[in-house]
Amino acid sequence: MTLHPYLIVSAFLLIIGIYGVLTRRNIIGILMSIELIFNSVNINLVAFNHFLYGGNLYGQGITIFVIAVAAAEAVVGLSLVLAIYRNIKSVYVENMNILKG
Amino acid sequence: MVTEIIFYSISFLLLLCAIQVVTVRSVFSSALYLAGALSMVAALFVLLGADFLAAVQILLYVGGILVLLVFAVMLSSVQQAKLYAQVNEQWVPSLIVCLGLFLLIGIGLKRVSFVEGTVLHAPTTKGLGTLLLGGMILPFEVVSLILLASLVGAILFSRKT
Repeated sequence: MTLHPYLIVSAFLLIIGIYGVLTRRNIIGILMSIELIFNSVNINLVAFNHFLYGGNLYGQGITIFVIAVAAAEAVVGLSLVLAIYRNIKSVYVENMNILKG
Repeated sequence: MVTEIIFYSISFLLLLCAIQVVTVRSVFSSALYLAGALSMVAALFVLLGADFLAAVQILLYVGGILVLLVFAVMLSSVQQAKLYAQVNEQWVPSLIVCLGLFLLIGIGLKRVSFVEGTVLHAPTTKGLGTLLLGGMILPFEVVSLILLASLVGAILFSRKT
């Protein structure tokens, strides 16, 4: 087993996430796609740590921080989504244009 | 050889679930497919020898963030999801952009070669604990501040005005 298949899988997961961010209309779907992007980064970090720096754990430590920041992002993002939904009764991003001049 | 078979089947399931997450029509099904994808990522962590991270992935992502997402899906509109298209009209240019990006990453990966060190499978929990309270103590404290700020922000945004 070498490093390259893990990087290819992670790149695939990254572009699926970017495709979801670009095309989804529902803002909760966009948040899910962002979680996919975070996971591709985590696979990359753990694979590099495992194959290149065997005895060392810094990549896994950074992965823990990425997971914690993803949790914080999901909490704030979903509370924002619910606040917006209470105001404009829609979760579709093309309706969220109250800040537009 | 067995490792390769397990790796490729896990990757196939992971990419299948991920594609379903971004293409399926109902947002609730999309959340369930996201649970499958996150569990497959935890399986990849097990293959890479990161036992503690696999447990954290299941506990935090599948047990925490995903329940939060399902709550948000159920609190927002469920009826709207059946009626309207879930994908905007720009999906062909987005697909072209994503394939180009994948091509670029693939070319870059083909041209580079890494010097792989010794691969060892050892328990990581003790090492991660000493690392988090030793070499990475500053980011550890900063993450606690970020979690506190997100807690206050969630309460602030979700209260009745």
